[in-house]
Amino acid sequence: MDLFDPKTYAALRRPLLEAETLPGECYTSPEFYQREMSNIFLKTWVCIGREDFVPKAGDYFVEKLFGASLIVIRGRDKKLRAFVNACRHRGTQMLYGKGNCMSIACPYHGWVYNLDGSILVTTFMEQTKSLNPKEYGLVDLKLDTWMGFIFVNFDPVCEPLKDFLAGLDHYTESYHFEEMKTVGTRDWHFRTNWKIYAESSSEGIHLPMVHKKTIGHVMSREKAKFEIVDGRPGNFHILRTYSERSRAVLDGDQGFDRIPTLRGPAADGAQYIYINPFTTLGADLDCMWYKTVVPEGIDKVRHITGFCFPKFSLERLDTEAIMKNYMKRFPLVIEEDGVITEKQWDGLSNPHAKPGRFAAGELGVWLFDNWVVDRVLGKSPVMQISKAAA
Amino acid sequence: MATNIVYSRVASLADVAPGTGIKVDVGDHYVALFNLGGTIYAVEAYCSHALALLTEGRVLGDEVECPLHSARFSIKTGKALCEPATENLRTYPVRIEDGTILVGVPE
Repeated sequence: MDLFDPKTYAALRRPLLEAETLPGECYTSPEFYQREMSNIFLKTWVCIGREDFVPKAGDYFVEKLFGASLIVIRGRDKKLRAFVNACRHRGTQMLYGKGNCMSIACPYHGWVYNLDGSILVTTFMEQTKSLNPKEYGLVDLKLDTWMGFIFVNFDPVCEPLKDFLAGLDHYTESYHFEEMKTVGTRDWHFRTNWKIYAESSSEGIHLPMVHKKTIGHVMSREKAKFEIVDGRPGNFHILRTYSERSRAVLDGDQGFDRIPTLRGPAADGAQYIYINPFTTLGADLDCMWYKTVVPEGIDKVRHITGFCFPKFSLERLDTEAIMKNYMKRFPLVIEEDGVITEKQWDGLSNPHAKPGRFAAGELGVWLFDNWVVDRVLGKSPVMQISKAAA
Repeated sequence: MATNIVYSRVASLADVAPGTGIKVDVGDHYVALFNLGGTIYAVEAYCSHALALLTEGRVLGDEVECPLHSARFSIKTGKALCEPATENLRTYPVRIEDGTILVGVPE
């Protein structure tokens, strides 16, 4: 099978209910993964955190993406920047974890950089020929923000973030994510391919089986309705639900009040917004959680989740007591998803597994798989699929 | 025209052990408090050479040594005492009231 021949994906390209799923080799092939790395991971906007991680000048955090350690730091001009976390002298990593500093210093020989990445001090370089300090500032990455989220892009000539997310504001602006406070984050690691996790975040028909101990009843008891929104030409799709209560706490547990500003689609129920390639926003009637699933290998993902609440919910006398209900629910459901994605990895990596078919409720999975294949094959950002499927 | 100095409570005496320093933020000012034999002094917190945090350096008598490139400053006067530092540190007036340290900054 030639994984880079468009004919290999003819069956995927059919309309949803006639299409076949991705071949297993797309999840297990090192060559396919390398092409994902070069054509997707290093060429698209990746959500790396929230602006309230770094509110003050000098605040920074370090994150690792695709083997590269990055510094995200707020400058004295209040601007956020992202840099490769390696000294321009001889490459030592300079910062770890998170903190605050007024300059970035290398612990090896004492080179120092301003918060905008420009050189402040070099040491022992007096005899070095043709050293123009202006050429040895920190290597920077594209960084932009959207509704309080920080995105980075390794591609210096990428499309603007606002174009990448075109059309999304209609579904999200009434939440005011940028005013929410991130109350905590948590990491998990799962033994699966990143696309498997993305796919599980793109459909709701697994709820009765996978989440039967937590939120699975929403389909049977609450007769939840799911609807997929196709975000093209933007790079997202949304699993919309219709519900009067938040799904962010378990049945019977008290939650916070509904966000009063919700309008339009946001007012109808939780929206699970999948921003290609790695990020899901769980936008509910009372809060938002986000997860970025970062590939760390063909069969390993790091799952970074943050939990965000509107400020009015955090100023109640009973905030701490109610918050426990959310912090109980989130890890239970995340771990249920993690377990099933590991089982799917086990099945798809079976050398005798064959492509399958999509259910009507799996439009989000089909959209995502086509988005990935478009980029692996090197097509333009706008999805090229058959007219019959449009 | 004389500038008005406004004093703010920033720490207690017990927070700064003799021979050590801590950093406090006073509005837009980053201040290092040092305890020299029971007397509190306040100077700019970041080295004037390459902006390292001076409270992470060694206190040597009444001097502080920058942890990064070993420049030394007088804690009492803020004077830069050796290279690579060439600019003096700003100093701030200190008051002690009932065991609380107050630092004065321009209004």
